[in-house]
Amino acid sequence: MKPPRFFDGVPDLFLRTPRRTDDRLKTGTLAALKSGARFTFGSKRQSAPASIVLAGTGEALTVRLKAGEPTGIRFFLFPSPTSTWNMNIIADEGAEADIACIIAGKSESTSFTRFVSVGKGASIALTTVFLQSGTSVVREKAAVRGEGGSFRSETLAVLSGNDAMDALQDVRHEAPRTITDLVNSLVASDAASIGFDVTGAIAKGNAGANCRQQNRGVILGDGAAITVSPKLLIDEFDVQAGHGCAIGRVNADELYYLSSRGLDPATAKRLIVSGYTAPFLAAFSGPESGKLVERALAQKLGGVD
Amino acid sequence: MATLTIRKLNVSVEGTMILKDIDLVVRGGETHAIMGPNGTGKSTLASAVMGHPKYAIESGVILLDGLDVTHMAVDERSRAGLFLAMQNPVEVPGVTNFDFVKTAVQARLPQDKRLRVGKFILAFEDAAAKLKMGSGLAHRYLNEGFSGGEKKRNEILQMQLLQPKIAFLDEIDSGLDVDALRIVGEAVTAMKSPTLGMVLITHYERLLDYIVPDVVHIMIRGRIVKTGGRELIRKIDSEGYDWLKAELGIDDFDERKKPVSLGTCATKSPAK
Repeated sequence: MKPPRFFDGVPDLFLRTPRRTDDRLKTGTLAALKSGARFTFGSKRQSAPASIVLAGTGEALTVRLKAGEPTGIRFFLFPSPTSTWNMNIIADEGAEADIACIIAGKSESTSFTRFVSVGKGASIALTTVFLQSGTSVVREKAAVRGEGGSFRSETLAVLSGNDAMDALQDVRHEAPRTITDLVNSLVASDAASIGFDVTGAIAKGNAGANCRQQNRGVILGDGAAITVSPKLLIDEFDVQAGHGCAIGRVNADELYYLSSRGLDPATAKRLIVSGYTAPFLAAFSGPESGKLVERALAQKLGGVD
Repeated sequence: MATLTIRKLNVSVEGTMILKDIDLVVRGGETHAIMGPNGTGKSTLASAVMGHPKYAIESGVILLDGLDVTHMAVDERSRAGLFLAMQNPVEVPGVTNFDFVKTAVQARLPQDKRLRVGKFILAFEDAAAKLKMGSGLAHRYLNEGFSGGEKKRNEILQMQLLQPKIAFLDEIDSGLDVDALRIVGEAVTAMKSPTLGMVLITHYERLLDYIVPDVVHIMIRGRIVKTGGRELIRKIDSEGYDWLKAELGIDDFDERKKPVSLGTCATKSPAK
């Protein structure tokens, strides 16, 4: 999938495809390292989030977030049939960032690895949308290393056809009074399968930590499956921790209610699923990028019936 | 003028026959009230007409303007012109009221015709204002966190915007306080027109102070046992339903209440 043309008009942008590179970043700097690209944000005020658009076989990226100005970044990743993406996000003490990332397009095999390090008093909010096809392996690790650091991650994965995803999320509290909050919304239609293994760990000595996990999944196809294994590993007394998981088919009462107003079953299911996806569309600011995500979603769920 | 014709309708739920030989004709412009004690099949009739999958139509026909809808899918019945304002409207998290009703209105249009959103927004806001539903209604998730009264008013709002030919209103008075009942009653009465036939299901007469029916039916044990005018409402109001027991020669309205043996207690003499 090629990046759509509307990105040409985005002012604060870095775009790289196999054919061209377009560096118009205004609020961040880019350094090419042996290990890959390194972006640094946080020193310039933003009026809108910066966009980083990458297409191809994958990249190794490091995003360094400095204390100073709150940072917004929107990643748009368009994988080739086989791709490997490695992302390191390092939030310095006091850094504040809102990062959204979407992977969309036709693919056979995608590997996505992300490591997030959150420093003292730093606050990172991540929104991730997986809409790519094929087989995907996702490995995510977050370490909240500084006292008072917070990490919130909301993930939407929509799989259809014979797509399969194996995801592992591991969140570690390595300092007192740290907060983590993981929310996973999973949609599997046709014969797709999704497996999420989610771990939240609070190490000894990290009193006042708050570790939360929520997982919900909706199964739309007879051959579809969602498996979630939420785990909490707690080695400290004075903490708050909780996890929840709800997976099921579309509620029959909801379906009847919507049908009783004239919505055919496919439209009714799509509307119910939009209840899962709508908050994620909002994360991709701008009408064009919102439409891009909406279209990618419609492609994935077009076969709902 | 729309006409709903129900002939010899027999409906079962999980193998138990609930509705027996129901005959009913509702024409556009008419307002019918179906009254009766709890558990006599009033809501079953509404749900069966709407096509709820839980209710099996064993025999009989349902015709809407001559079109046989007896075995149609729920959404097809709705698009054909049937509407059911539900007793317990379902909450659908994440789906806004506005998106839902817009999609439902769009579903009624021919495939090549797009809904004029600007016009629809005005119609939505106007309907919400008439029902005193507050300005945030459009962006609230469908029935989620609504009070009982708000849910019922939201059903009436949908009815206004979807403009059905025949509407069943299943106990829309339950959960409404006096003021909300008046607002709903006035809104429903304002919708009366030759193009809309209505069936009110209730077991209290107070709703019928606001929405005056033309025809009143009394349903007992899955059958319409009496049909008349407003004088039936007054009789039920003053005497309840017990006078029907004598008239029909029955002991109990709920035939499911049959005495059954639970067995004999085992007794044991204390050891000597």
